[in-house]
Amino acid sequence: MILFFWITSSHRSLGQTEFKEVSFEQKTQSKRAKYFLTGQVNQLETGEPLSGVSIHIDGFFAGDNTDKNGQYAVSLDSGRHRIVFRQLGKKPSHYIALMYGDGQLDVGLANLDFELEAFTVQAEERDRNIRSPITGVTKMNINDIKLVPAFLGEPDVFNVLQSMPGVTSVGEGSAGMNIRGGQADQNLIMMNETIVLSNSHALGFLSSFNGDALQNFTLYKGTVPSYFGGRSSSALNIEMRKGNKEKWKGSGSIGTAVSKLMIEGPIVPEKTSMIFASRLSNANWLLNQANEVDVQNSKINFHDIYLGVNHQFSEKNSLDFNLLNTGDYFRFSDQFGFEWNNLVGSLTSRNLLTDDLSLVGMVAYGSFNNGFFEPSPIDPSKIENGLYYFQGKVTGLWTLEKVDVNFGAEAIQYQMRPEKQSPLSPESGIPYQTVSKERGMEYAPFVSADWNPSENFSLSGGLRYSNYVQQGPDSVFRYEEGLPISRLTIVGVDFIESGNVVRYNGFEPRLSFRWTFDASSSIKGGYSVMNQYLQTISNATGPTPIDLWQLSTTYILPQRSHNASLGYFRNFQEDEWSTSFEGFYRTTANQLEYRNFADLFVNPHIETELIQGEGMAYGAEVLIQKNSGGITGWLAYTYSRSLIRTTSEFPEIQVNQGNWFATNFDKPHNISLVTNFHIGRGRTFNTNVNFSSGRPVTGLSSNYVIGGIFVPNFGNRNEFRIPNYFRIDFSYLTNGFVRKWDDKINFSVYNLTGRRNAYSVFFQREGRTPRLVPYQISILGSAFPSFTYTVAFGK
Amino acid sequence: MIKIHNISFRFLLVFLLYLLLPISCIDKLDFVGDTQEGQLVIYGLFTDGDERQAVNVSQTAAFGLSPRGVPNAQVFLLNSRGERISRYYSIGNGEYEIFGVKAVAGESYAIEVILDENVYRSKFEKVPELLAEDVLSFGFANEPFRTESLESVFTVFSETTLPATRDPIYLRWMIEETYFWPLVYLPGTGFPPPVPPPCFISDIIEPNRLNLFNGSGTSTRKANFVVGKRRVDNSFLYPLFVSVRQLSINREAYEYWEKIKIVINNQGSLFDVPPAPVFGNISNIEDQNEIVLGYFEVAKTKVTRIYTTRADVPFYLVDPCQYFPNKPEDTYASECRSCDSRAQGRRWTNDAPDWWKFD
Repeated sequence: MILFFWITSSHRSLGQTEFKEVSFEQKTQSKRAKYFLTGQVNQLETGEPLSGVSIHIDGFFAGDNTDKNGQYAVSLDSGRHRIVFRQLGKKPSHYIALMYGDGQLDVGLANLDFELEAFTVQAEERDRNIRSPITGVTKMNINDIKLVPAFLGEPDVFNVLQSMPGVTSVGEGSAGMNIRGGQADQNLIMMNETIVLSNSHALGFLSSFNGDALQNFTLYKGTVPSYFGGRSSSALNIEMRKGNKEKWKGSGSIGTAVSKLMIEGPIVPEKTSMIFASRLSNANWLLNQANEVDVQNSKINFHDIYLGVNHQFSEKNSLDFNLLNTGDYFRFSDQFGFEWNNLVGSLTSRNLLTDDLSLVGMVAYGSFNNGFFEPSPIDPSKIENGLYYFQGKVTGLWTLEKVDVNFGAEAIQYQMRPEKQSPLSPESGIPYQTVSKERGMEYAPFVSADWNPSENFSLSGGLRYSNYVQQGPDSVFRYEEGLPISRLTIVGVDFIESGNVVRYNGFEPRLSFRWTFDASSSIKGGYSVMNQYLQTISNATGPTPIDLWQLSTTYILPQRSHNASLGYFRNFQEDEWSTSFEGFYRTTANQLEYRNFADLFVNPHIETELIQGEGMAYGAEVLIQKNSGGITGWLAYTYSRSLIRTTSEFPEIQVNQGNWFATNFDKPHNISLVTNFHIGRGRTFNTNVNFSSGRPVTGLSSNYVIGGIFVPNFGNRNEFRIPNYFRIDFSYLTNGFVRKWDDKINFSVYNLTGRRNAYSVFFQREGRTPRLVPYQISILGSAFPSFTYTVAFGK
Repeated sequence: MIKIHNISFRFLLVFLLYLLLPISCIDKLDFVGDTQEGQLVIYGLFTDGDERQAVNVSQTAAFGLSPRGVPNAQVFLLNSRGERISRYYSIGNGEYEIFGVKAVAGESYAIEVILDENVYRSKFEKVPELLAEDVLSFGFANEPFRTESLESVFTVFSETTLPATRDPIYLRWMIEETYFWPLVYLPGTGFPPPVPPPCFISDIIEPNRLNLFNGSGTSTRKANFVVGKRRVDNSFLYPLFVSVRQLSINREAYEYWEKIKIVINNQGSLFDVPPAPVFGNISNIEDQNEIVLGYFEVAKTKVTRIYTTRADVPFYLVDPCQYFPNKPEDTYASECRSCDSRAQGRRWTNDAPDWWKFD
């Protein structure tokens, strides 16, 4: 791989970026938080106005294009910005704009010859990794996401993230990601800052965020800013696109497993726009190709719908409405099945109140329902649970001379739905059973300040004071003192009809610094404390879409993590190459583990099945990224450990005798190599190579016989490891069949070598011999191709 | 006019071939972890039946091999007052048994095992008082059984009626077959030529099926179960009896067997409960940290039987021991001449069981 990158480094970049600096000063002394930049973009050679030119600000598409007269208007925070004007077939124009007043910037774009088109692919600022104030931040936009080969050919946020350092998953077919050794539920996942609890499709193979409506994402895996909270590991904010304000357009795709439709345009020209994007699976015919009867009799369906409406009241005030609905149904033969549905809606108001103060207010509603059913011949039944929540958040930005101050407050009211067990047929003997669940509120004021005393040094500090109240009604069981909590030690129950059941709170300091040595190297560090009051509980091998969400209670204490990270960043050859080396260390108090053979469903005293402990994660990450040229991509290596030990005073319920042991997702070595070959004329050939250590499993230590049954005797939890994981994917993106249409083809093959990567291990008797031998299950044991044909209209 | 770009049809063919490949698979894995040996395993079942009551004492072996029997232990049955009411006698290979003693419903019992000056004792287990009624039936079919391909399969069903009471009832079934196997009659060997005694060969059917039913969590009072399946082979040439032994056990034993069922049926899938060591109700009274595997269970029991003959079998069966006058004796397969060879380690006898009766 090093050789490969050495070879690619010999490619000379023809698209070297030159930034022109422009400065706009306010004529009066008063200072404002926001300024407006307006102007016109013309064809350089002819002077004709250019419509549809995209405007990228600080590395990301701003969501605005020039109108039919080539004109644009964007609102920018006070300060220094990188602005790039782009259009297909034109040479992009780069500016550094010093915005200390409203300004006008007219731009001319030159036509681009073939070579330049092929060699300029990086939409993001190349030196952002050096200059951004906090460590452990990963940002990417949809254009880059599309270049990473993915399962079913769908551009996918989670797939891309798993090729970046510090991000892994338990394995194929598990929902959620593990970031820097954290559990999947320790990640705060948001869409436009609205919490999204269920965020995957098809048992975790795809995320719920449609690439057609996605603009970019930002992952905070080091120091999470104080305006995000509620999880103890990381925060991922996914920004969705705004609709086009001038013209109706869209696209439709049909693929081997997923079909899509996207429409966007002005409801009221120049004022109100909308975007609608949906995906629908059509994968059942693939299951029918399997040669196992149970797989043929299985079913998998999923969908997602995104609607975004943006209204611009004035230059200073706007309102956004976002709605995401996702749903999944999976049934494995007549043995078991799952279905879940997720709805998230939000209303966001953005207002510039005074010249130096802006305010963003957001209210949101989320609802998540899931069901687990067993359509077996005897006593078919179904278990349902879920929750809904209301989220409110106000964030202010106050801009001073050298300090930007963020402040605000956030509150979330959670209401768990009662867990219900019901028969699936009249003949079933399973009785209706309901277990009521908790209600709780989490609220937190926060403040943070970014101080830039000099060009070389910046300091970012924040404080969040999180509070949590579990509210009645609830039944709180009492247990016999001096014995472990279990259903056998229940001595009574207190019913609390209203008021507060239990309350927790804590300060969460966040601190990070950046020291820039020169234009191409910097060092950054950070420390943060984060509390978590909502977590998932599961006794499955990996996170599943139907994991139970559990609020903190009298017996289930909130998690509290301490995170520290330090990184060195260096770019080479005028930012054509960027590199980083980061280390991290985290401890988490009250991390949840399940007890052996835990019975989690329809259990009114769930604490009897759980045990809390101490988590520890540490590691180092290396990223070498090539940002421009005919071949781009990155090489990421992560060394990461994730350990836990239970801390009960009662030895009989301790897991592994209270010793440290590896979590299910502890994979010490991870290597990813993503390469994009830009062939020209919009064609790219992309590969993704992944290697990781095998994850821990619980293995067999001996066998014994009771009553004629050969019983495997399993050893300590997660004592063994499955074989290492290796996978190569490739994709080829090109123009479509029909020259007159704006059509695209995506052909990709997931697991190109067809390697049978172990997902898990089970033990089985071989023939008539009594000894059990280990077998591995591979979820995708062969190459998995997909083909997607997309036609855009209204361009 | 629409123009189509040049497409490689070979490319499309390769693409389609890919789609027809199976997408998931299972492979034997070449790893053996650090195995533990020497862990004590004690299993005993004490019922209300007029039958042999047995306790097995063994130790785990390295590399996951079969456990070794421990023949030098002293095993006692204790009543609810902790008094030794009977001593089990060793019959070798870690097997201990008593006859003429049986459990009384509603009473509690325990066992005590003394081995190398260590005393191991089980918790006291109470014998349940309820039993269900089993009505057996069977069927033959061609269906996937041990592999995905079709096999001739014999299936035993039970229609079980639970007592009309709200008291909890927990059931477990053990299913055993006994079939008749005549040795080949060779007239030339002696005068008058002796007729070789037939074999009655017994074995547990599908031991890993572990049929369990929790009657406390459902209002169902009548349920149909598959209690066992086995491949159809030449054992069905002659009468084959199936004995279904219903064990009414207590809640603790039921929970223990539920865990055993989880570990023996673990498929390692995402949704499986991860396996873990199963701890029973037996411990070293002086060293609680010593892990003792196994269980002592008590049960109220009832045996129901059904039989099948060759006339029931809808498949063609080949008799490997058909007599031909001119065929040399030593060319007959050993299973035609010896019960021991035919049994291949299964239990066998030359005497018909008491219940070997046809309606």
